[in-house]
Amino acid sequence: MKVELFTKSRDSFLDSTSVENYIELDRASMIYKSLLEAVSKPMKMALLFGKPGTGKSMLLAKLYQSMSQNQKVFLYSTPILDEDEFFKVLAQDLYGIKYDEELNFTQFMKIVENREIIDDSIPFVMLDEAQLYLEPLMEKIRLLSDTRKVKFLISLHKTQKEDVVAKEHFQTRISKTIELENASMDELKIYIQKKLMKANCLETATMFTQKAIKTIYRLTAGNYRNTNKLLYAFFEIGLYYLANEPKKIDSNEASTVMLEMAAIHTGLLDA
Amino acid sequence: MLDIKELEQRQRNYALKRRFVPVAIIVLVVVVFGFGYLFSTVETEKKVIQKPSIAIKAVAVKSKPETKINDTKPAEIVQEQTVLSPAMDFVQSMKNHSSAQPPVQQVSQIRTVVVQVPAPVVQQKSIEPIKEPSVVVVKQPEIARQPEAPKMNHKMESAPKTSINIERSGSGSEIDQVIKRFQTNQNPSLSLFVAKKSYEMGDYHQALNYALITNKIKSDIADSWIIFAKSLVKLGRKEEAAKTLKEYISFSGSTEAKQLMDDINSGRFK
Repeated sequence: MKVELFTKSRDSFLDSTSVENYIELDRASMIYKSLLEAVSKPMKMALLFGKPGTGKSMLLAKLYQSMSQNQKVFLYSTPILDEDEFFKVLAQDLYGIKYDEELNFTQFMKIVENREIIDDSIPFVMLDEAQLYLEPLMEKIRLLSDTRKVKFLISLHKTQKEDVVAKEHFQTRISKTIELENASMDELKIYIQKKLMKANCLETATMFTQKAIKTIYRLTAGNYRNTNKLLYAFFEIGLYYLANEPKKIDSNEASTVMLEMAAIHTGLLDA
Repeated sequence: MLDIKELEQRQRNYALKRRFVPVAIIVLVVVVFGFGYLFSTVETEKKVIQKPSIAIKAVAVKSKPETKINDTKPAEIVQEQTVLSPAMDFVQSMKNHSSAQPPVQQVSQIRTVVVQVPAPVVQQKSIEPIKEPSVVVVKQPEIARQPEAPKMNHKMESAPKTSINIERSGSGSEIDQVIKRFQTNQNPSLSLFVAKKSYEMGDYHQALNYALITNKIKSDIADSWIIFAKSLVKLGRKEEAAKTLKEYISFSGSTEAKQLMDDINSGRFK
């Protein structure tokens, strides 16, 4: 029974951007609403940025899920780095035009400009990991947004490049900029417990007392991805102990020793 | 696949480090502050102990022998007690030497020291011969023996000279050491010691000079005034001795000085 519980708990911390795993926290919820509001208005471009593991991809997935029912929304989680391919994909997805031959920017611009907007249904394109796009392509995306016939939401890591994009090239076009941050200790507690409860693991959820949360926060600094990795390894270690040394499992509180072992295993601790 | 045993070992090392570092820092801070406190306490104690000696030094520097004899400034009366502590064997050898060999017979060393003698406070008007810049010339070691050398040149007695030649005999090297020490640290106990020993050895000019120097550095040493007066008498300057003593008695009330005054006046001390 306990093995099953630990297995379910472990699997709930698998690192994935599936919307089913989305945990609604107060701050994330506010950001989500704010983004939703922004994209419903006439705008050229919105920027979502933050450190890796702060939940950008998950937020995009959630946004895509809720918006796709009412309007034309397109999420590109993996960057399309080839320009020709990028425009072909957009032509196909946005306008249903399939190009077998080469499609350059000028040709695609003509297609976009000739399109008539019916019922304010401006296609909304979400580009995740946009820091990987080359600068010339980013410039073309900016020009596309200037037509006001395509909206873009660009999600990227908080890097130097992001600063360039945000402050120079895209500054005038960006109508909404949102920064995602790591969780606070309270948010982290809610996140862990909500995740476990969502997986019907109430017993393991109660193991994460304030002391355990403090330890987790010390090890992950509130980063969601690192927390997922850490707790996955924690339950993995727990499963080993259940099978071999059950006395080492404290069902009342997540053991600091096990959490530190998990942190060493995942590389969060250098020991 | 997790290597639990290795993870456990690494976690133990990490926990040890994590707990050791703050403890080590605390211990280090405590040790540093402890040493700092001890050091400051010791320094404070040292300062308290050193204060008197600093005062003496200051006095010594202040009252270096000056060239002018007519020093009209009254000498400062310093209350600090300084204790002369020569090596005992040295004192013993001095005594043996002076008792066994009359100072006149063996002139092993002759020093030449130019000492410009400051006038004592009470002598400002009374001791006329010393008013002129009197320079005491003591010749530096000349190894050559002077078997029949006179005990001293009484040039000062005949007429006021610019220099006084003292040919000092006796335990030259030992007294020289004391003089050297005195020149280094200006300790009045040393100069008094030289004055006394010189007097004992019959070197009245040197005794007079060093008593004068001692008075200049520290004007409240009765022994120094006594030696000064006695040396004057021995040099045939009885009246000056009496005047000096009178002045000294007037501000110190020394019974010893009064006794000597009586002895001089009655002729018991010649």
